[in-house]
Amino acid sequence: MIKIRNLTKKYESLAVVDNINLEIEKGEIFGLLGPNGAGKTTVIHMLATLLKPTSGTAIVNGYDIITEPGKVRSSIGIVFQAPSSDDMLTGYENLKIHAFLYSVPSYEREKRIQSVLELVGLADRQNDEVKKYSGGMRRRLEIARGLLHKPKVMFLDEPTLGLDPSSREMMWEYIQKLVKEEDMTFILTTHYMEEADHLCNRIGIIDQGKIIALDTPANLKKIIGGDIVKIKPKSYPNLENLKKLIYIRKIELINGEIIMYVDNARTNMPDILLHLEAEYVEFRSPDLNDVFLKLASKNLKESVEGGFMERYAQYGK
Amino acid sequence: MINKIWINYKCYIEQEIMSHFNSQDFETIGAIEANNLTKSYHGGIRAVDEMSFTIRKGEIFGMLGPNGAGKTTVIKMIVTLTKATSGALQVFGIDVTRSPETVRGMLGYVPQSISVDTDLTAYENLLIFSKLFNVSKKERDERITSSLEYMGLTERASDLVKHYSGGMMRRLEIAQALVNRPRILLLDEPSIGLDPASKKHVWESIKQLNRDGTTILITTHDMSEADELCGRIAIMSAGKISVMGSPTELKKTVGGDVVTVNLTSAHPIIAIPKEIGSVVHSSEKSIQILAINGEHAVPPIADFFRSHEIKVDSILVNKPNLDDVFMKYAKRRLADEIHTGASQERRNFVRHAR
Amino acid sequence: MNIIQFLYNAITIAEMEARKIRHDTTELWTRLVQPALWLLIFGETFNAMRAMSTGSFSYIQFITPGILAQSVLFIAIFYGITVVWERDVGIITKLLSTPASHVSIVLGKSLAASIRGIFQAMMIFVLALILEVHIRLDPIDIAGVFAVTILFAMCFSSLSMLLASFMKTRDRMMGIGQALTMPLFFASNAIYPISAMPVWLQYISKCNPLSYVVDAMRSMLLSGSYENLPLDILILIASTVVFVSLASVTIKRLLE
Repeated sequence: MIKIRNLTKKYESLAVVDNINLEIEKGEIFGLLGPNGAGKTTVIHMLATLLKPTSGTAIVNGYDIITEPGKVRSSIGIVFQAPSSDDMLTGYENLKIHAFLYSVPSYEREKRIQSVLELVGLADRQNDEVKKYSGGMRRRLEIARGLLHKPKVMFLDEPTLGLDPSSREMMWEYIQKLVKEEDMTFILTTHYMEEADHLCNRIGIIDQGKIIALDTPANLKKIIGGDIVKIKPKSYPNLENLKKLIYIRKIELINGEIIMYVDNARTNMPDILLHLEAEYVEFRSPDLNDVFLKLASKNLKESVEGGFMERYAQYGK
Repeated sequence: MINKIWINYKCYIEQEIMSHFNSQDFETIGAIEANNLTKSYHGGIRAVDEMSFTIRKGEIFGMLGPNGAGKTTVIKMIVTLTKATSGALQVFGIDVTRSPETVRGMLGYVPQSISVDTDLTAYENLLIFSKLFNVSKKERDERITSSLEYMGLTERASDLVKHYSGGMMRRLEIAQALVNRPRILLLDEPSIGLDPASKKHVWESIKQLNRDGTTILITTHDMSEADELCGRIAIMSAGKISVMGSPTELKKTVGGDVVTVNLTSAHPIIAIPKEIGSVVHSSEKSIQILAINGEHAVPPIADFFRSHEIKVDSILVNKPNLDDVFMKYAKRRLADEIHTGASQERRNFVRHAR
Repeated sequence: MNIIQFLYNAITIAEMEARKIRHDTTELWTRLVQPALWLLIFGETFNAMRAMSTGSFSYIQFITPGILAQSVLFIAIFYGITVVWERDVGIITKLLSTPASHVSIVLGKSLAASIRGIFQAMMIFVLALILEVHIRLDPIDIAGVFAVTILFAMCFSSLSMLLASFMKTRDRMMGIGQALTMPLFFASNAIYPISAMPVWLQYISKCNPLSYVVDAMRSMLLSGSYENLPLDILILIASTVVFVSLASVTIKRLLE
């Protein structure tokens, strides 16, 4: 559906997007993650033909973003973070205006508007002014607007930013429904790792303009190397004994707690407890937060000294 | 000479604060106390409905709830930006309506949206606010420098804020509130829109501030944030507090920690000692034990099975999380679809108030 | 209330504006276009036509104080839009949550508007010199003109903030600004003497505060006769005090 070839964007000599290659399949929900200012938005803007790449190109829905930007635009929908619907108009009126703007043929206009309203679950509230909508409903109206011209690909920039947990879950359901029923492809950015885990088939982590990891959430979590186990021992432990156990990948003593990366902690926990007396035991599977922090760990260290944010701020210029 | 007046003024505020405590013990007084606090808008719609709560000195208190539950209205009343319709609100024993300026002098407020002036440099933003917070000229530079350092912004202090990244702006917001050395810091969604690494950085700063003695009130939609930071949490719904307690207590209310023990081979049902936990479900090959604290229960459970020579295949701990708590108490899974005029109107007004 | 603290806070707010202007002066220069056009085209044309009887002064002399007052009026009357915008980006919320009293914040904001007014006045002085308009260049008079400019900008910007706290949106403020400026401008002695107006308009223009401002400026820049000056300034100060105090009570409404 999307083929990105050597895509690069430079501001002066600084490469904000640095030679990215990526293929996204039809019907995928693809998550683009990365630190603030890593280049996620720039990539999306280039794919949506809002920004011209310095070099490289991409094919979206079979059209080249450089030579056929018009066709690309008509096959994509894009929803930005900042809501852009008019508060004083009703949900229906907002959609109608956009149907005109996208020159949806008049015989199909009404039908199309009603069907997208139905899709995002706003049909029965369409005649209320947008200012009466909740945050989640506004966000869904934005999506409805993006859907009006039946795009094949939808770009969502932080679709659940500022939404409470229940509105967030509802948003996830609608996105999944759209993929299933409309056969659409979604590319979204998010900072909620739970969201990426729950929603995305594949995830690309982008940092300093480069894709540093690309895989399914499940495979990404394997990077961590096993479940994370934290044990507070009752007495000073003999780590050497534990190190001999084959299922323990890595073991460290931090602030009186033993931190271990263990294959299949559930099964091996009884055995571990044979080797030491514990006060308490905490174990969990790795999540995408761990993955993110591990991959971005080099940066994290710098950020404490105030280094890495600064570099990103350069990107804004 | 003018300098002296400033110092006097600062002393005067301090005195005014202290004068309120002559009758009471400063140590026992709550940082923020609300009694039957109500805010109603035209037509009797109540954004905040007879809320009573006390935020203790030195704690991190979290206010959660769906959009439009009244969180921001409460914060606005504390910052004296809007007046309560009825009820009392005191900050360190001082009534907010009686001495709003004294109250504001004790607070640092970080609104939800970025509100630093992007046309100024970080240094200038802090300079202006230190002046408005009546920081004496002598102390000003030191405070600005240390606030910038605290939030890791020193190197970029003289750049225009519009060139900052989202994470930096957020940190600047907090730095701006810090020049006042506030006794209470009010943070409305402190890590919204931040990546996990920047979020961690902001969390560390918040925890450090709290260790240094600042009372902190935060609102958030990020349950992991609330769990990580807050000593106590109130979940609001439709202008009322539906439940309040520590994250651990709250999680208990949706079911405690459940330790599941799977056995290698079928074994007749055995009695588990009470001090370990109570069995909620058991079959031949699997036993579920409800424990007060899952982490602490695992070692004795493992010991118990070992001492009875029962082979354990696997152990897992299921802990309820704050999302479950939120879903239970915010009870509005589909509330945004509700047609009833009142709640819709309320949200509308509340949004307006924001 | 500590008066030094109060004034200091107000000046701090104005300082904030001054620093912003220092970072980006574009707006100041673009604001120069309109008065320049009035003086260059309107002023020069009517000057050549000698169509209007403006006493002992040439027409371009006559309208220079008028254009000065008019361009400051534009800045001041639309200042509410700036405040609404600052509300939208959260700056006003932040300012109102500091211990500074709300009166000092409104006062500071109106001073901020007058900083822009001062620049405007300076530019018009320069323009007048370039166009060789004969105006009195007595230092005391010039200082007086600047003082009146400051008061005038404060007066109308606080009125604008007062309106903004009820209007609340930029669009409405834009509308109300348009609705106010033109009648104020045309029903004043800015570009023609009151005596040239129809009688009904003369009455209106006598109630128009802009007439008094123009009158004050004209007496300092052109005639040098000060008999009306005390009244002009008194009216200006009184309305400034009223508007600032009203606006400081209502400003919180902006956040609702």
